[in-house]
Parts: sequence; C-alpha cells; structure tokens
Amino acid sequence: MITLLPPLADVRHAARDTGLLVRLRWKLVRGVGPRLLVLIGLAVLVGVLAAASNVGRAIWILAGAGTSTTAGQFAANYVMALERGELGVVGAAALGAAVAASLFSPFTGAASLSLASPDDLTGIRPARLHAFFDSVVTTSISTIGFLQLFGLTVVASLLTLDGTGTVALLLAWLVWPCLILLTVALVWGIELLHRVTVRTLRRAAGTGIVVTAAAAIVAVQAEWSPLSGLGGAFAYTLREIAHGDFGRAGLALGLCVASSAGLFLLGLALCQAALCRPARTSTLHRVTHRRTLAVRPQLALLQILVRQMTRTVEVRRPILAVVILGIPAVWVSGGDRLVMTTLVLATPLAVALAWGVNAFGVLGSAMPWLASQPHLLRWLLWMVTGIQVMVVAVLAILCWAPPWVAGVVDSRDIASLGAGLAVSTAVTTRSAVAKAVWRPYLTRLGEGGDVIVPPLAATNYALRFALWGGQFGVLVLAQSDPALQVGLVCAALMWSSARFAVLLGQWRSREVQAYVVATVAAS
Amino acid sequence: MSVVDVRDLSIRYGEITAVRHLDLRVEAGEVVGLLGGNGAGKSSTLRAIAGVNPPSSGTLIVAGHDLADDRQVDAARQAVGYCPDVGGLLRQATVREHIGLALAFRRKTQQWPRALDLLERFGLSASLDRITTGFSHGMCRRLSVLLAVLTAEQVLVLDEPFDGVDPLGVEAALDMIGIARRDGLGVLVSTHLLPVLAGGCDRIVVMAAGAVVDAGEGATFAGTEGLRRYTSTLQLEAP
Repeated sequence: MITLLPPLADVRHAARDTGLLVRLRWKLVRGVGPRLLVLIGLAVLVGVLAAASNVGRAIWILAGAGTSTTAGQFAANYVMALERGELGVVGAAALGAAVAASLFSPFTGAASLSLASPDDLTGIRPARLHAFFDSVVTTSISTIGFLQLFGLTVVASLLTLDGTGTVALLLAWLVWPCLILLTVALVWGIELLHRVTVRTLRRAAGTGIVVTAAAAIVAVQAEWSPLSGLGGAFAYTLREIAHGDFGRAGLALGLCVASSAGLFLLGLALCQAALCRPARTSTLHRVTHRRTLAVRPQLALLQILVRQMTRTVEVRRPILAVVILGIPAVWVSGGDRLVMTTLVLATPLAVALAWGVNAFGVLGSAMPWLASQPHLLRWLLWMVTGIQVMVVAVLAILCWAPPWVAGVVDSRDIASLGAGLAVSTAVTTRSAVAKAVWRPYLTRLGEGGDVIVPPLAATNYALRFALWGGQFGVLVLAQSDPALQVGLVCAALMWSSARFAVLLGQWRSREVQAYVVATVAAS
Repeated sequence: MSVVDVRDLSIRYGEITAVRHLDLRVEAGEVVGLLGGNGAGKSSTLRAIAGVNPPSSGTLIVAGHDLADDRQVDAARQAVGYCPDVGGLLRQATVREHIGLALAFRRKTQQWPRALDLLERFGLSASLDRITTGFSHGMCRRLSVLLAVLTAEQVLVLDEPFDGVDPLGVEAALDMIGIARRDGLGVLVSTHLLPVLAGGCDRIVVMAAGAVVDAGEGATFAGTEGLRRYTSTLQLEAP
C-alpha cells in the first residue's frame, strides 16, 4: 500500500539532492565566457523584472507631465480609467493568462523538464523524489515561469500606480509560487496518468482537461466566471492594498501561502504515486504502418524530417498547443486585434522554440551518419528552414482560413495578418536557424525530461525573438496603409534572405558542420 | 590500387590534437583493422575518412577524391559506407525509412532487394517498420553496419561494429566484411576485440595518442602472442 505522502526524511534528501544537481549544472557551464553569459542573462532578467515593477510609476509620471504628447494622453486616460474602477479586466486577464499558462504548459511538454537526463543519473543515483524538486526548479526558470512572474509584476505595478505598491507586489509574487506548484502538480498528475492508464483513457482525460482550460480562457475573454471572477477579485485586492487595506492584504497573503502549501503536498503525493509505478514503455516498441520514402533525395529528406518532427513529442506538443488555443481564440474573438497580435507573435515563436533553435539536436546521434551521406548536409539547412516556415504557414491557415471563409474575420484583417506573420516568421525563422548552427545543444529527447534547449537559453531566445521578429511583425500588422505594409514585408524578406544567404555560406564550411555534428552527437 | 591513402594526416579540435601525422593506406580488397586504447584517435581517423570531419592538415585521398578539397567531398562520401561508433540512427525513424533515406541519397533505390536480403542476414527483417527508439544497443549496431554495407561502393568504414552485438550479429558482420573484401572494397574496422580482428583482417594498425605505434599482418596479432604484443604496445605508449 502506497502511503499518500512520502516521509519527511525522503523529502529532505530529495531537496538536498536537487540542490546538488543545481550546483552540478552550474559547474558544467565551463569557462569564464559561458559563465559570464549566464550571469549576464540572469542580470537582464532581473533588470526586466525591475523595469516591469516600475511600469505603473512610469505611467504616473507620464500622466503628470501633461497630455500634449500621445504617450501622455494614453497615460492620463489610463489613470482616469483606473480611478473610475474600469480596469479590473487587466487583473483578470493577467491572472487568467498566468493560470492558463500553468494549466497548458504541462500538456505542451514545456513543464516536463529535469535538471539532468535520467540516463546521466543512473550512476549518481540521487534520491528518487528529487524529480519533484527538479520540476519545481526547472519550471521556475523556464520561459513560461518567467513570463508568469513578469505578467504578475506588470499588473501589480499597473493597478497600484496611485498608491502603495510594495505589498501588492509581494502579493503578486506570492501568487507566482502557487502557479509554479500548480504546474508541477499537473505535470506529475499527467505522469501518474501515463503510468496507470491505457492510452485511450489517457487521451480522453487529457482532451477533457485541455478543453476545460480552453473554455476557461474563453471565459476570461468574455469576462465570465470563474477565472475572470477570480481575476477580478485579484485586481480588486491589489487596488485595496494600494489604498492601505492591509487587513485584506494579510488575508490574501495567507491564502497564497496556504494554497502553495496545499499544492506542494499534492504535487509531492502525485510524484511519489507516479514514481512507485513502472515507467511508461508504450513508445519503446512502436510499430508504424509501412511508410516508404520518396526516391528523390531532397524529397526523402523532407519527408524524414517532417516525420521526426511529428513523432518527437517535445517538438510536436508546443506546435499542437498553438492549434488548440489559436483556433477557438480566433472564432470566439472574431479575430480581434489582441488575438491577431498574439498569434503574430506566438506562432513563429512556438515553432522556432520547438524545432528551429536546435533542429540538429533533434536529429541528435544520427548526425554523424547523416553527415557521411553525399549532398545531405548541403540540403539539411534549407530543409530545416523550409519546414519551419511551412509549419507556421499551416498553423496560420488552420487558425485563420476557416473563420475567414465563414465570414467571421474580415478580408482586410487577413491581409494585415498575412503581412505581420510573414515579417515575424521571416525574421524569427532566420534567427532560430542561426542559433541552430552556432549554438547547437546536446539533447536526448524522448527519454523523459530532456528539452530542446536548456531553460535559461529558451527564455533568452523567447525574449529575443519576441522583441525582435515578433515586434516587427506586430508593427507591420498595426499599419493601416497597405502600400506601407507591402513595403515593410518586402524589406523584411530581403533583409532576412540576405542574412540567410550569409548563414548558408557559413554552413558550407566543413569545420562548422563538424562542430555541429560533434556537439549534438556527443556520447 | 589504394582506395584510402592517408599521408601526414592531423586532426585537431581546438587545443586538442586527436590525430598526428598519420600515414595509412588501404588497398582495394584489403581489410585493415584499427586497434588502440580509448582516445587513441581511431574514431577521429575514421570520421575523417567517411567525410564527416575535415582534416586539419595532411593529405586524405578516398576513392581517388581529395577530402581536403570541399568540391570532392561528396564524391568521396558516395564511395564510402560508414558505421559511426555511437548512435548513427534517427531516434524516431523506422528501419525501412533509414534504408530508404540512405538509398535515396546514393541514388540506389533499385537496391531494395539487396537491402531485404541483408535485413534477413542481420536478423532485422521482422523489424522493418519498427521505430528504432525501442531497439536494443545490439540491434542498433546491426542496423548501422547494415546501412554501411548497403551503401559502400569502394570503401567500408566500420567503427566499433561489434560493440554490444551477440555472436550471431558478429558472425553476420564478419560475413559482410568477407563479402566486401571479395567484391574489391577496402575495409577499415575499428574494435577492441582483438581475436575477432586478428582472424578477419589482412593487416592491423595499432594507434596511440593519435599516431601509429605498431602495424603488422592480421595473423601476427592472433593468439596469446598477438595479445601480448598488443598489450605491451599499449603499456609502452600509455601516457
């Protein structure tokens, strides 16, 4: 009989072993340069958080400076709306998005990380429950974890700009561990489901949870309960704290701590229950239908790469998440500007982070063999890039074509969206492929817990791609003049093509190819 | 006629020199075994011959193509069948897809009947549509050897082909090496299994610290005497 919660001593050992693994990970960052880069990355993240916590103050100052400028007008309007109590939806949306991220990331695989591959740990043998604390650490430093903290910080700052912000900020930061622990509990819940149920039941349960979560997001957008009700209460609490209601603050803080503790224990119990059962083996002896390849080498390579992509769960899941979230969002919103902007940003980003940034790593130990085939490496970079663009195009068509045909979305909006998406895809794809060539990572996908790129690198890439290609795409989307949009699209495509041509030239170097092969196929 | 002609080859990875001033020739129809301790430079040499790693300096001619010249690399790769030391397989691809890809890139898709025959010999015909993720280490090695044998035109390069393979698999691989020799291919095999190598090779080359430290006919490395010769060479060259 499995006891529900593990003994305290086991939990303590597991926490200690995770601490040791974190130290080991740091030691594995060899050399002054790479360590400096990690520290700079961390400093940038802290700086971004500090800036986020001062967004409200900046708006307050802008509003005080007068309404002679557009920014001043916007700031003054915002402050007036806040004082009229019309901005509860900001808190609702922020909390809704953060909770939705916690609910979805386990299904996209984004939260199923570990500090080290299980294969690497067979000799070290850390305490079994270290896997739980691993999940907590890796989820906290993941892209989604950081974006949740960033979003909560911004909203706390925006809602308290006319009062005391420190306690509100503390509350927002205490909501964050709750969300992290919710994600981790879900990760281990899914793992338990994997180990105790058959595939059909598991898929049915997974689909049910995803549909529920999607409905929750729709509820936020339509300002229905339950999430917007919770979000509204969150926003109201932040406003009250800003105006000195510290009794309410104490209650909210206590609720956060109690929720965190509850979710921590739930996650531990689920983790222990999962680890007491044999690991899933369903994928190990998989037989597929007879699938042949084309005779033409380029087509055969394209086919095999697409199949690698669709069969690798870590690559497939984030891309599917865009479909699961994007399609209902477009239908329900009627393709409003917020959804358009989000998808222009998120679609190329999701594909880049799931595939492009380490496409050679996905091929992994096959690279030496592939590199010994004539002409293959010459084509490989083209194919990797082409697939990335193709997947974004397919996702865009899936999300936007049916609503457009049904008349839910306007043709002019579709044209703007196409322009914005073309720009963000071109810029993001080129940047991602450049990362694959110059920063390849060894990863053992499909072996439980390994990821396309390490969490800190993924956060770094996500911020860069969002702020560069993504923002450029949004800028093009926002233009009302079609001629200007076409001009910007042409400029972006020419710029990306020129940079891609340079990258192709660099990729022709056999030293560069050998470096990539040696890195991703290291034993 | 030499199908592999290595002269004064050096391979460097940044500060580390993996292979230094290596000379090696493999004739058509000859089987050459590469022996040496871990880190001796065997795999680096074989990777360079397979066209995976570029030589840092020296001359490397494979099937008449100079591997220092980027324009000739693909022609050299076309002539070589290569089994890497580790991995070498796509995680989420089936045996059929591996063979299909290899044959498509060599433009040899008419060789499917031969591939099916090889699958039978290597005991893999029942796994044609299985994804290789679930394969045992030995099965992966068998498939890697099979792919190399199937695609080799003039040179067969096998890096640790017997690692983790059961006796039937070893026998099948040795049979393939014998057939390749008979068909006039130059064969280079690296392994730590001296008895297997001594029995099946025309010539054995021992490497240490990236250089050749001993060489001789395969038969001279057979039996207890051969083992003593090999181990004493390794001990002498140990850092």
